[in-house]
Amino acid sequence: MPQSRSSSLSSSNPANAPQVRHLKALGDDTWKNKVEKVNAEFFHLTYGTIVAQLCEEYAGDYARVNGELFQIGYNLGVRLIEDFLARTALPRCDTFLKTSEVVSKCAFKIFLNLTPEVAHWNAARDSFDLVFGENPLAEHVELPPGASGQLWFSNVLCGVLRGALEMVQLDCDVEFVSDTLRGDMSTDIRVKLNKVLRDEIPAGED
Amino acid sequence: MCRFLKHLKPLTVMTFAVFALPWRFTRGWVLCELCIYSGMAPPGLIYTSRADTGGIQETAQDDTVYVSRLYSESLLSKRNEVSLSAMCFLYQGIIAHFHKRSKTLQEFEGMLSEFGAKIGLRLLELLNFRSSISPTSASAASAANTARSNVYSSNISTPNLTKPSANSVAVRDSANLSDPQLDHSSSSMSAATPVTQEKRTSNTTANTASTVATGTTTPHNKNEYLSEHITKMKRRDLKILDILQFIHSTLWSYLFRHVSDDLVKSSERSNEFMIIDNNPILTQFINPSFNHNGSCDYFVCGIISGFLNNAGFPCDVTAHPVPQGEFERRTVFLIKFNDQVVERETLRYG
Amino acid sequence: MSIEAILIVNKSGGLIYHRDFNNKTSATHLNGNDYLILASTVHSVFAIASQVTPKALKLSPPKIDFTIPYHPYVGVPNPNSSNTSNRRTVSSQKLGSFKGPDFFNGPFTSWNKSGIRQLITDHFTMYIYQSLTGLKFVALGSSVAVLGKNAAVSNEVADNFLRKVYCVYSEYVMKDPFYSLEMPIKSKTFDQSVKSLVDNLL
Repeated sequence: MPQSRSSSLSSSNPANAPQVRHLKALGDDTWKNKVEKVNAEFFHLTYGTIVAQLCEEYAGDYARVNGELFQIGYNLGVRLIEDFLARTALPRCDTFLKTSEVVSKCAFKIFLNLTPEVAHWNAARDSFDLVFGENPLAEHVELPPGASGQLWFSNVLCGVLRGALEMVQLDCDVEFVSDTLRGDMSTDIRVKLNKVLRDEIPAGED
Repeated sequence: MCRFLKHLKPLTVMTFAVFALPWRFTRGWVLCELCIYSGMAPPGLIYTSRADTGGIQETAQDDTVYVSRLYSESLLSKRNEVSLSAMCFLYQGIIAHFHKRSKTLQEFEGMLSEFGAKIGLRLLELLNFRSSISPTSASAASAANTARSNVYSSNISTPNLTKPSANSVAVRDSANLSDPQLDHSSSSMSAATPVTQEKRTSNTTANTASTVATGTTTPHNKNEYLSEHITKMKRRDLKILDILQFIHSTLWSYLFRHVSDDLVKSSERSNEFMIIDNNPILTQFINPSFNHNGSCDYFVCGIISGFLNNAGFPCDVTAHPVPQGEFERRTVFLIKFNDQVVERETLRYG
Repeated sequence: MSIEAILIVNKSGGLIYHRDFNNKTSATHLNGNDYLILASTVHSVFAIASQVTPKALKLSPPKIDFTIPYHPYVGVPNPNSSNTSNRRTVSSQKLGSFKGPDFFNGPFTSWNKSGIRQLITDHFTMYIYQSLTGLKFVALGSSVAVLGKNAAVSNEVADNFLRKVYCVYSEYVMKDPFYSLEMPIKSKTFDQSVKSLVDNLL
């Protein structure tokens, strides 16, 4: 069932603008002054090597490689969220829109120095896309023939997002929808909220 | 020429181009912009590409025509950064992944080492290239800044041949490499060069393009190639000490933003050398228990051994935690060269 | 304020870390089992407390500001202090992946809106800091906070301090590949960092 997708809400809603500016400022300031950094190329090389190794190991079963990358990302995400919360101490997001802004302006900025755009909200306002220009983890990467239609190179990011959001009681489905490595126009990750895990919200928060 | 090169494996092409072809001849060829694949190269086939095409094209009639955009990407150092947290989390994920698959500690260390070797072999080519950038190349101000600091650091820091028992002097190149101001100066210099972002198709929004731009710390001219700034390739290191110096200064500062804390030759055995890191940054958060003491450092061992093995210096590299004074995580990377290497050195250089 | 003990309770109420910092005699020392009971009791009472809010408050909630102001250099050496040895420690001490002299330098919102934040008794004071993920950091302080403004300030200092313990936890426990989630923490580096936080508090 085709759902109408609209462009980013945040820029159109003036009430959200100061909040968004504050988040962006927080993300920028934390990145600039409070985070120790390493060479990004080393990071990309390491990540690329693990993907290549998995492809070799599973001998062309790219669905399994995607699954393995997702799993690695999931285990990473459930830990990474603690680092993010300790660093920023942001209050709980009251709307999914706020969640999208926090993820794009703060989280990606602080860890990877990237600010993806939030776009393609669906009509029910429970799904958005994170749009990157280029594939964020792919530097000097070319997919082997055969993988182009099947492998999501940066699938670890989906796992990270799913794990991290689950720890703050948001059950989401996160998946890639397009990838510049495959020849698409942009690299898009779709985040869809299934439900808020109200039972697991820690006591003491209203 | 194209057809001939088409049938060679990528690594062979790289070696061939580096050692055989004069640069002026290859300048016109985009092929000479040697790309370091992250292991995803199509086996055995090289495709020529045109510099002006920016994307992957597949013709409708004949889908064997495949123009890779990999060749039009510049190898100039972009000096981008990610957070140490992200790197450590990724590293932790990789270790957990290997730990699950290995049954013994030796197997785990071996897997980690093999993994690092793949990175080491790529860094050998890449860093040699980048350190060949001529310092006088005016248009490569930002690129040269990186390369100059790498080239000069290997000249400044003298080889340390003290016995391991004596107090080793830390050979730190303080001014250029560990200075975070370098990032800002290089970015301001490169801002002067015209920035031409590769034009993607009209479907992408302007916002996306600007997002990509803000993501990188140094806006770089995408059409500026590494090869344009090289007039003379750096000669391959043939002496043990030269290549170890390169590791100690250039490789270490590429990986960890500082030169390694010491480079020591063993007094007991002629084929053993040690590189010392007082505080390995990747493993600083990992709890050193007697089960895994030093095992997680085998990744860096792998990088060093991949680097040396592919440079023609077959060796074994192991990691040993040796706390000293205030440095509790001090690690010694022991490099044991094969006997043939030492023999060769003695024959050639006496 | 001196810290006697620190406990970390996971989201299911299990104790994953406890450490004593006092040198009292073993007579007053709790054993391991007692700490487990203490942790689960704190966890349950915390949850019950959040349910005990009077109905009247729930109907017309007063505007409570949950922002905790920043108290500089709680638990880390102060680079501006006149103490020269302190300055030397600051330059040599690095906070892992946190850049700068302190883990954070601004006010922050408390996630703990209706649970117990501070428990004042005649013999000790207990401070509780809960993260968004349900992890509770409990500090037992020896001094008795007098009710009123002092109690509020000491609570703020404790929140600042416990957030730093949270930062240290995210560094040395979360980044350790050999640590399984929700399990007891057995990390030497974590112990050392927590100890240095407590030492710098005095």
